[in-house]
Amino acid sequence: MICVLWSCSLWAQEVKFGITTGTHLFYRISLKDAFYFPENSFTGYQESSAGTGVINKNSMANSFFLGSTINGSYKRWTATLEPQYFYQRTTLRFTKPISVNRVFGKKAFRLPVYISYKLWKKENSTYLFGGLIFHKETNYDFQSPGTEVYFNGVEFGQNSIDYGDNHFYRALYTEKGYWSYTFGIGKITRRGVNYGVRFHRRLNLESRGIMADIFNVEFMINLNVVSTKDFTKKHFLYVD
Amino acid sequence: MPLKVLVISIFVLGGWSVFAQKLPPGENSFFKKYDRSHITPEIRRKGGISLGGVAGFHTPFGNQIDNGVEPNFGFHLAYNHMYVRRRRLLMSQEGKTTDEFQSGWGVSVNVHMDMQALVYGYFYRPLIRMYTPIFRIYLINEYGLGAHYDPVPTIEGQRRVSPSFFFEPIRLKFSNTPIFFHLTGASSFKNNILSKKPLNVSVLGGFRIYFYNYS
Repeated sequence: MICVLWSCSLWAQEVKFGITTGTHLFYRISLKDAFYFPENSFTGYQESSAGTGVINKNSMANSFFLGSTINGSYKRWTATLEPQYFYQRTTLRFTKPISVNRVFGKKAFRLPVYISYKLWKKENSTYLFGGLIFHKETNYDFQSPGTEVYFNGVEFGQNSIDYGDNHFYRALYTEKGYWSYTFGIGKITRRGVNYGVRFHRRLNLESRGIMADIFNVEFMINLNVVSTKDFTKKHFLYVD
Repeated sequence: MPLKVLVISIFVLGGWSVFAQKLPPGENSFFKKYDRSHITPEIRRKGGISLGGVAGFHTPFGNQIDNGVEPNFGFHLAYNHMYVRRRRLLMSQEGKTTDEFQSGWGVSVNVHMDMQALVYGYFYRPLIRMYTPIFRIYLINEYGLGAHYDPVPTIEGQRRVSPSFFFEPIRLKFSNTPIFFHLTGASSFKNNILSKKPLNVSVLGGFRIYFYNYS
């Protein structure tokens, strides 16, 4: 990685540092199986109606990420590195055989690495990009609300049993780091705000795979704070 | 009052009314009032209020006891101190101009039918603006700090007044009208998204009409 960064800094005409933030525009989890029985629980989960799958959940704006961005550009090409922290919470609702809400949350370090190409030969242009994202996650998988929670003055524990944590290990997550591929489209505004929409999907390799299919569309904003051009000597041409 | 002073006063006042040039009605001064709203020729400072309607969705959005999600209607009232930029219309041949809110701050009050209230001070500056001839879209607009008042707290440990932060991700404006459609999210500072405790969040969607001196 250091070699790549060093070589980038050699060929780059400009290197920019900034901050990045964003959220999910669309997030879809689908687990097509009709039944799912966790290894660590005496209860299982069944699809609510035939053909829908055990988990069939669409969400939006259920995550948040904040990080830094480093990009080196050469002509129309830009290589970008975005180390960032990522938080997400999704509520999954099951009705059969028990009616229960479960929260699937994650706290992650992510490292998107991608290359973009500007469609037009100008500073503020629309661009297309593609690359990879490395994920290292801490996952949270629990029943919510728990037994200690009240709703409208009614103690929830009287109506429910806590069936335990971590039911969806290897169905929705593993503890191992993994890569996903990404591509998308972005735009740089006249004021230098760089925003885009990216799709990404897990590279479901054999040893690190999960049963569910997770589809992500994210909205991201990159704000450039400092550039190497800020430190170069400026030459002005005056024409009388 | 001596008669001399009265007569002189009447003559002086009469003289003012005769010699004053371009005096707007109701102004008894020699000089036209200086317009202090100008910051630059394009940017002006405008104070005004906004009124509107709002549909709120407050947690719990749905759970095992109550799965229904119903909007909670209410009204919006705010004082807005805006910095307005005069911009030439995109498709105008005659050079017509329009006002754009460059940035601003204010205090917003939203009261709902079940007496839930959200009061917050905000800073407004849209990060991304998209102009089309028919409508304009503003993204990442408002950041606020305030409180959410809930007369009947639903979550254990929740107080009636929860300090919250507010964020408006999207705002829409049709043509040159001062009516904005917006979507705002509110979240309590006590929320921990990775704990078993239910979240205390609200989503507000509605419209606002801005009233200020359009001159």
